[in-house]
Amino acid sequence: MASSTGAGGGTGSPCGACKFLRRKCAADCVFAPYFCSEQGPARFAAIHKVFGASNVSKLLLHVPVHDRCEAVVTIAYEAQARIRDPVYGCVSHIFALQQQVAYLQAQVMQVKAQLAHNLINNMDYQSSSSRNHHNADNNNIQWPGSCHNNNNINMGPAGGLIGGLQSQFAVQNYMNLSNISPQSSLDSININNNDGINNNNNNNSNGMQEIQSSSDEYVMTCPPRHSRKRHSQTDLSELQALALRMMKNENC
Amino acid sequence: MNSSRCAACKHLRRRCPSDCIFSPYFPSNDPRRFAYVHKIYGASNVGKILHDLPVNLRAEAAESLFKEASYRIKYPVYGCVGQITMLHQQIQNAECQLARIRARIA
Repeated sequence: MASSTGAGGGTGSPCGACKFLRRKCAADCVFAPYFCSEQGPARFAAIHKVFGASNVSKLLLHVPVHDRCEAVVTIAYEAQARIRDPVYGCVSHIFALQQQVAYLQAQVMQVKAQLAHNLINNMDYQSSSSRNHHNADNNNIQWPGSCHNNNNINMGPAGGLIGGLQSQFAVQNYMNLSNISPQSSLDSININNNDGINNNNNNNSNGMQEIQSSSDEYVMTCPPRHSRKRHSQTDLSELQALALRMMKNENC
Repeated sequence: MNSSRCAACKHLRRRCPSDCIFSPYFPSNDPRRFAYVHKIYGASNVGKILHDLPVNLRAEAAESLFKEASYRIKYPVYGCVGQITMLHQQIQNAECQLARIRARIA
């Protein structure tokens, strides 16, 4: 009994490929499972025109049996694409998709820069207000938004950023804070970023993007409020100095 | 013996005529180019494809044939389609990321 997918074997009707080629369909015909006798000839015609039966047979023989069905599908797709567009084939589709990817990635970078810009503006406001609080009471500094879910930027992103930086420094070593420069701190809190934004020549926005990326990670792991009281005045002032240096770099 | 045979005629071990259809697009300094397209398409099919096109489009066609053949040799099962699928996924990821970041800005 001939299957619906392939009808080779020599006993029944030939498979679509052999029908097209007008040859006897062998029992072990490589095309038989993938080209039925009804619609197979039409499908095989394109493949034969572009690739040739011999070349396709060799391709299929080099592919594991369980992958041959997908190989036939993709070969048929490429053959149809080449017949439709003899110059570019399916490569034109690839070009179009690559351009779309590049465009979207540029847009992602743009909105990230916009987000970073918003955060810088907020940080400017937060640092000036936190400076006033710091002078009043060093042991009771509030870090708004630092332990909250960072999905809501409006809950104090600047505080979240400084909290994120603080938690990162807590992981490293509080005694070395005096040696931290803005660049080294950015390097230390850089996390894997799949967007490849490190190629940006604007170090400031890139740095802010990295800090924003890191703040997404570190805000959730900031130390509890009671441990912050153990932070020395020197540590806190170092963090604030770092924030101020970053803002100055932005203004230069 | 013509010492400046194109890569196709060198591969096919034949004399390279002055009007060889392959020679402008498969120079002798890059034998891999013709080897790939010959392995996937066959010299006869490549010749027919190029012959049916206007002369000003043959270079692009040869280049795209080489690219397709390269993909097929590198990825015997999926060929170019694998690349297309991967690009679709990249587009989807980028669109999701864009929507996420825009939602945060808003």
